[in-house]
Amino acid sequence: MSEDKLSRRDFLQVAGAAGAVGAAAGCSPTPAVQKLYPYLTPPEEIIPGTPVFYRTVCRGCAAGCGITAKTREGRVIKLEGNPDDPIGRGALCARGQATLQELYAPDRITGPMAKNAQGGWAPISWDDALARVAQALAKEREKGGRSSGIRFLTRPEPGSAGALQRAFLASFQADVSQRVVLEPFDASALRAASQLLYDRPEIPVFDLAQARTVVSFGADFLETWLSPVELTRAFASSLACRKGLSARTRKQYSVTRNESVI
Amino acid sequence: MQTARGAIPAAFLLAGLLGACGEAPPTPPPQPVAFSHKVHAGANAIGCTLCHAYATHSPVAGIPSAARCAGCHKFVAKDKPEVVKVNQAFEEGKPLVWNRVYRVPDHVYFTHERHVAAGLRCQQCHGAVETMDVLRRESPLTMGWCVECHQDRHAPLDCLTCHK
Repeated sequence: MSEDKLSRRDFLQVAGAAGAVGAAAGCSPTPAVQKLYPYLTPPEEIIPGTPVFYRTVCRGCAAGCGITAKTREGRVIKLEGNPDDPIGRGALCARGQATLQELYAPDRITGPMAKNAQGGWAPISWDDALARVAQALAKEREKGGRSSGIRFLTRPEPGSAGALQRAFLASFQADVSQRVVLEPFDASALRAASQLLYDRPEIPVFDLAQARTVVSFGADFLETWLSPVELTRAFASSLACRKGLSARTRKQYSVTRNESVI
Repeated sequence: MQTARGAIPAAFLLAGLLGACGEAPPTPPPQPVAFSHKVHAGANAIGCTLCHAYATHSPVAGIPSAARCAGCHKFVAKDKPEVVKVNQAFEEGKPLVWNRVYRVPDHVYFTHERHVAAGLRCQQCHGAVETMDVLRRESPLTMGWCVECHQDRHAPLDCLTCHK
């Protein structure tokens, strides 16, 4: 049946001929008819075709810059920095801009999945998923006392969501260590250092704007370290930057290694 | 299979010929319901913006929501077969999906708001919609057609007015 297929040569001949016809007629081919989907009941705050802006917080890294999300008909189409935010002050880094891609990534997980008999993942319904989780949790609760079989996987949630997660685990007498946090830019070494130096396991704020000289060991503060937008601006306004008195060491090649070395 | 091989190029050429020209009056696309502007805007003299509610303050005029249709049709002409379809769609929560009749390309920025504010009547671009049982595209929507009117009315002619 391979003869049925259009060969590359045939295709190019035809495409050329069709293109010539289109060009002779003086216009481009008419696009296929588009569909119009009206609202069932229109939301009051939405005017179709007119963007609605929301102030929110970037979750690209732990810095949490304030951002403005531009939405059209209820869908986010662009993120920008929020000028009133003290951290980002209207700027947003490349990572922050790209968080929009996380929302619409075609390969993202769009619903609950369960391991099947073959060991692969198969989508299941939300009702099924919630029933399974409730059943597993009930089993843990039946055991009474400390439930060691529970793990709560989460991203960093410093606010009320984190408090809710900890309260949830506490209701199972679970340990704090059973809340497993995925933090791509882990600051635990910094916290430990802060504990040793200041008796507090907090991340210190580096006021680079006041710095005369900056010596950085592996802390790429212009790229991803701690709060890049904030630190970049502070560094740019500092004497260290203007007079070129800074040095950075880094294991890998740095895209911003253009400071002079003292 | 020589015939099949010949048929495909022929189809391509035909598509190229037929689809080539945007200026020819296009055949109105089929719609999910035999909606008549003649009945609504003509016989019953309902104003355009009662249904196309956003035309005065947004780039798009807006297709009326299912709720807006049902707002009248739960009382008016509710036994007519086409109206039954409309009410059914609203009750089932599945809005009717219409086929677009008017469209400017993506590289053109067009806003209804500005044109309504300039005092243009809807019919100037959309034709005598109130006489049409089946909505068809009356104007070519080509750049030359736009510019002609902009010249006549001393509207802006900067490239950036429409191509931003």
